[in-house]
Amino acid sequence: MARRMLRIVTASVTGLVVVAALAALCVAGAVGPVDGAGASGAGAGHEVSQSRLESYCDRSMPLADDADYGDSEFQASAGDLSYAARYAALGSVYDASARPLDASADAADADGAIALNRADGEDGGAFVVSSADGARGHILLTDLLKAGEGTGQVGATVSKAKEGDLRGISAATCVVPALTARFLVTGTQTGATQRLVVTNPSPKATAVDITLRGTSQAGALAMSTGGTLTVGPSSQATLDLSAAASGEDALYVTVASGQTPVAVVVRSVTMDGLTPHGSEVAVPLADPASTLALPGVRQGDRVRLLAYARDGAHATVSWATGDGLVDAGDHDLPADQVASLDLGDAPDGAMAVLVTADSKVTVGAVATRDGADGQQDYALVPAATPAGSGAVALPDGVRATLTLANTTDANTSVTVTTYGADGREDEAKQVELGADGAEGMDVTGSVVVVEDPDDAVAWSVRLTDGGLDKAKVAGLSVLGPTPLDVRQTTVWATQSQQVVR
Amino acid sequence: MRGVLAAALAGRAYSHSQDVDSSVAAVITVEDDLRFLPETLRAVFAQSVLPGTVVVADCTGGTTQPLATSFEVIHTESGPMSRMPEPKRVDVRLVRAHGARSFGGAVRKALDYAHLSPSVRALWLLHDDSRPADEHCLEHLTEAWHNAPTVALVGAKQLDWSGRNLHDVGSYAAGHRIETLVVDGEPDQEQYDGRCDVYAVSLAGMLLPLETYHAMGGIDDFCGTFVQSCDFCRRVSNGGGRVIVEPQARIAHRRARFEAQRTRAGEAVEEGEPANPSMALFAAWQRYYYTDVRMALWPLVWLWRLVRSLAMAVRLLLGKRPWQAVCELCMPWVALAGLPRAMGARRRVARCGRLPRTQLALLSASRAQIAQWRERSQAFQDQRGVVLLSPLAKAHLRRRLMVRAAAAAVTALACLVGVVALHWPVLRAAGSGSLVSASLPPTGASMRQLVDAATIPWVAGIGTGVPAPPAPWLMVLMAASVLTGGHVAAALTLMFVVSAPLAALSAWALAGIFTRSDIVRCAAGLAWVALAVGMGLYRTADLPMLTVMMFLPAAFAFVFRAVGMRRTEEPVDPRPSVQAAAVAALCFMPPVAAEPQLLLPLVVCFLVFVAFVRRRRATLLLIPVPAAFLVAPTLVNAVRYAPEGSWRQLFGDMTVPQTVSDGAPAALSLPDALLRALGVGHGATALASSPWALASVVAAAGMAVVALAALALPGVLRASRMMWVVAVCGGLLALASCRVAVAPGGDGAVAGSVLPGLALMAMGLLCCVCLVAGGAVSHFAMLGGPQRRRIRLVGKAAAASAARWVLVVAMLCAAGAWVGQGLVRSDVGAVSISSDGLPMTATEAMGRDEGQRVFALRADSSNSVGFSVMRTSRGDLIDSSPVYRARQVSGVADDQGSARLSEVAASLMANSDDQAIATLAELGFSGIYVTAGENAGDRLTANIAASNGTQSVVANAQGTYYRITFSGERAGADGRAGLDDARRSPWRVAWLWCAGLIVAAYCLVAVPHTSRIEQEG
Repeated sequence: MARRMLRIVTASVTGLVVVAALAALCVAGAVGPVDGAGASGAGAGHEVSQSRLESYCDRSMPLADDADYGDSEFQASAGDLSYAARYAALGSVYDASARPLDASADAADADGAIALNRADGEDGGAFVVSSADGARGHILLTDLLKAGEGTGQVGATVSKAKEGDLRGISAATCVVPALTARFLVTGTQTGATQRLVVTNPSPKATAVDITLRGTSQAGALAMSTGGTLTVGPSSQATLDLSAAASGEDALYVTVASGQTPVAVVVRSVTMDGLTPHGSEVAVPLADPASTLALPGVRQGDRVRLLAYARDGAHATVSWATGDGLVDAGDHDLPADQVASLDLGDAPDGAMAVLVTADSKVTVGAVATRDGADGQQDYALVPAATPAGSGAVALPDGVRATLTLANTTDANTSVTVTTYGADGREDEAKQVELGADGAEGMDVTGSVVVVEDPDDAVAWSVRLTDGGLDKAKVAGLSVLGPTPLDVRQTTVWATQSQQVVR
Repeated sequence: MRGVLAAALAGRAYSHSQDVDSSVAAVITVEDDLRFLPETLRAVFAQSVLPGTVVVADCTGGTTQPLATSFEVIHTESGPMSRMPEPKRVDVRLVRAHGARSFGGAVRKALDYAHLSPSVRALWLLHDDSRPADEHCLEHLTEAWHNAPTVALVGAKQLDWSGRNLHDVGSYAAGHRIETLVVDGEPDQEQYDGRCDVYAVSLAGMLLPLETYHAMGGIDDFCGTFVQSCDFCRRVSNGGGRVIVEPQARIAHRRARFEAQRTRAGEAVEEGEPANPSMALFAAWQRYYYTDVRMALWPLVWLWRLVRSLAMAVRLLLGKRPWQAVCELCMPWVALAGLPRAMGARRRVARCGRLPRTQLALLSASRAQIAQWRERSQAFQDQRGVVLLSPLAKAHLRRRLMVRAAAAAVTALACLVGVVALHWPVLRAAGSGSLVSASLPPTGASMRQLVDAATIPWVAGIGTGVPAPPAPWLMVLMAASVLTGGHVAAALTLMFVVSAPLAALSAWALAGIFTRSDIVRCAAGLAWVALAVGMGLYRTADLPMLTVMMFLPAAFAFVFRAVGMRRTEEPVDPRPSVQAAAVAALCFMPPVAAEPQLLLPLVVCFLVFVAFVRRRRATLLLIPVPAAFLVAPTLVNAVRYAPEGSWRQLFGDMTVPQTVSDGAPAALSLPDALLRALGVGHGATALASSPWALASVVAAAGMAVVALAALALPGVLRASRMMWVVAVCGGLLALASCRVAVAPGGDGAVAGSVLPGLALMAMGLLCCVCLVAGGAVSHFAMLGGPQRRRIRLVGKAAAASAARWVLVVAMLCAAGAWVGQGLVRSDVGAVSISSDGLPMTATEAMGRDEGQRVFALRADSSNSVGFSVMRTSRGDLIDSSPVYRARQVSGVADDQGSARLSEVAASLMANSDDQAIATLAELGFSGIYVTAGENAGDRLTANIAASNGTQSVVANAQGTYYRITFSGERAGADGRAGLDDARRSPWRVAWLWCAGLIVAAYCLVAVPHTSRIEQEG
């Protein structure tokens, strides 16, 4: 009996304990400690930026056709062609040097390598060097300490001649290798030679695809020479565009590299019989946009606008002068076809060409000036993209004029800084620009840096003279700015077993 | 003891027919256990011929001074009286024999203290539990002695305590052992009464002339109580003495120590929990063996017995006698320990001389005799356990068996067909690739890589390799891969498909412990699989949880079988079974390996079970041992580095935790945890909007209510409380797990999964529901008997059956609700088959050289990149390490390799970087693979193409593969040294050997018998 009572009591007690436990579990919300670990989450964020910058600086302008035939009057000659180059590295730079293209990649002290120097004890100065070795192209290399605005490398090369078939000035900035490049070049009519030079600075060979669009028809042109170019490691290859697609008034060239980034320039030389009508080196264009400013024209230039819109566009062109905008007409751009628009002479006070379109277009301007005896020289005026900080290296022996154009309709101000030949800062000037206004000024020194905190000003440097004006030879070239902004991004990297499924 | 003695003296019947033989002194040894002494004393004092002196030797130490008393007996002769009968005295002395180590030692001490008179010429030795079975025992013994005065000693026939069944009638020599040639327990039909000369007799009831006693120098202590009679008789026989047995003298011997009714210390043992005397018995016989062999041969004999002990241990394990197997393995070392004393004992035996061979042949048992004896023993054993059934009853049982098997097969088949049909599009393509889902990485590993990953504490696919204990579930995958012939990817599919029928059968087996109703059991199986579907285990291919669902119910079912707490259909009581315990231990290994967090509630449950079960408690505690050994590296790592947060790894498993399904660590209550497990969002609105979710929750609540009713049922009190404890522990585990952070997630940590705890809880509740269904055993009942009573019985049975049907319908509705919820739940990244992977060129390169790695990248957006170290063509699942994730979330994952690779991935995402490629080459990577994705992937490929040292090899729709062309030394940083160190680590070797031996031993015990019910020890 007692055992039975004990059993009943034990059974009830255990049963009640179980029921109580169940009730506690059901109600136990918001009770009990919670593990607070791991607030940071998976993956790790890294600040990444480029630590090494590389660009290709072209050699002196070679003759288009230097075969010897006929007597000396008919032979092409370069005359007194002279070459000057300036390389500079600005910002938090560790080391910078320029090596010839065909030297081995690793040798910092290879044959012909030029080191950029900075004035001793100068922390805010620039690494600068100038060179006159125009026989081959150079690769400019800069090792950076840290990324940021105001850090970068710039370079410019200029070839000028007073006599010979290359009379005039042709200049180009150093080109950063990329997997794709776009050009708008002057036409391939009789007497015009366009040579596409592809430089592969890496130790891997690559194959380059080239497509052309012209003014004569919509769509890609069928190239007589074939559209693929193979470039070996650390070497160059050339394609004659005027042979590939002749008879066009202007060409839109797209270059795409398969394996490695390549530096592409187009060397164009125009002759009218035996009279040189100018030479120029074209560098790759910026991305298409719907509002573009092309600073660098001056009164008296004959300006021709080259435009390409893939799906067609309606563009409004105007001149930016020191006193505001002057309309230059509305134009309809055909789809997938280059349009060559003759804008006539630049009016008084004109500093820049402004193009506004209803969709993204690529534009370039050709500004031509006349010299004596029918000689002409032209410059390819690139569309300049406003950037927070940009620079242009100023080679020796030519006169440099800075053109600033405000692309917005608000007042803005920029700081123009020039550096001397030893890298020391020469002068820093504040320039105010009104809405849609433009300014021009001469600059001297080795490098000019424009800081534009509002990202409103498009600018360029126009190279003239260099002794050519006295000899009544027209010489003209426009250099677009290189942005001094090494991108620093935060990239989030996560390790996961699900990457390949 | 004095009280007992006084009572025996007082209760002595007055009789005139008793005589006193003053040349015999009876020596009775007594210990703490006084249960048998009264009977023995009464039997001694009722003898027709009383011994002249009765010495009671007290081994407890309670008697310090000898006590003496006496009584007088007047013997009246049967014929006419010739003279006045004289009273004869019987002296009764109580002396101390404290500190005696064996029966012989007690006798010696008693003789020292008793100071027997010189007229005593023989001793009659008795244990306190050996009583003379009739009144003429001593008479027969003394008669035999007087008839053959040259004998050295006279033994008696040993019977069991009831006096009807035989134990032994003298024994013969056989090899270096003694064989009685009497089947222990067979009834005494005087079949052995012809024996006279034997090799040895038992000391209990022996009449030992003092001459022999002193000639042999007393009874040797060395062999212990069990075997010292054999040793003494051996010395007597070897010395040329005659040992005879007098079959008319019957001694009823309880053999309390031998049959484990008494502990070694002499205390009584409670009924029902007999201790196993095997260790002492084996040690005693081993001593006998060694003292029978020449000392010069001892080293060889020891080596032979060492080998033999291994073989005997295997045989005993197969015979389901694990404790005896352990004793057998310990024996060689016990022999070494007892070496000095053994040498002395051998000398004493050798001193007695050697029996001539012809003489020995007379006293030996031949092989044929022993074989015949074994057959008879076996036949006797066979017929003892059998319950005789009529042919109709047998037919009924057979029919029940077939119905049961058919029901189980139908349930399993239904589940298999259901799961295959639900996932047919996925399974159809299963041959071409590996199962993959958002939480289960795919695998392309080979069997060798899987074995390495499962046994070496090194995870090779993270960074350049990190030292971490291997995830235990890889062992389960290894076993499944053996079944598929080494194809690891196919093993995943096999587990996916086979889990449904196996889980149904497991639940069916567990339900069968509590109820024998077929429909309830089938419904339980279906409900269990439906719960698996409802928890989304099939949709997300959560193979570790499916392993738990497959094996956990079966493990618990076998636990209950092991302790003999189950309902049976056969008309016998369920007996506890060591084999079931071994199977339970093996069945616990996969779930604990899959989800190590289950070990915590299992330990608690087992401790509670030990309190609740009636028998076999020690067996219960041995069940978790193999599972604990299997997860030993994880446990040791968790405990050793616990301050650094390494305990979190216990709550993770091999699936990749997802924030969308597991959430962040939060304090949930049980209903919230249930909603999370069912894939329903938080809060009442989410519940109300989905009818299936509502139905599932209502079904779960209903199951809990019915399970509560089980607490009130009489007759199943223990079982219901045990299963409710399991359920509550499961609930606690679920609530603990959701509060622990186990892995870093997208933003913040991911909490542990509530599924294991809820599965355990659901299992407990399901069992209680089956308890409510009642026993439902349909016994065989003969027709006939009073009509009214039969109708009443039939009425009751019908009502019970109807109630059971209602319960079954409710369970099926709950199963349907869960399956519905499982079908409508939206899980991101549902299961599919992945047949892509790295291109063949890359996998060929990896196949040639084990250490080759490919760096895989996937651009998730323009500023986030995922990377992985590939050493197989996909995934890989074997590199998913819960330990590493726990270290990451605890903030202590600081392996250099991963940090460097993370930087490399980030820099390649942003720019082309020659230095990054050089780092990859240095770390031992031979290629880079970029998975095709959105536009950001183009930038990544462009950056990689632009960097020096890469060469594009293959570019297809799945991705691009670059070969790294940097040549030169890849020295040291690629982690091969760490892998070799981990492979050769002594801890690893020790763990593998220990775990392997333990699992092998348990497997041997678990192997099913072919036939008879053996005596299990």
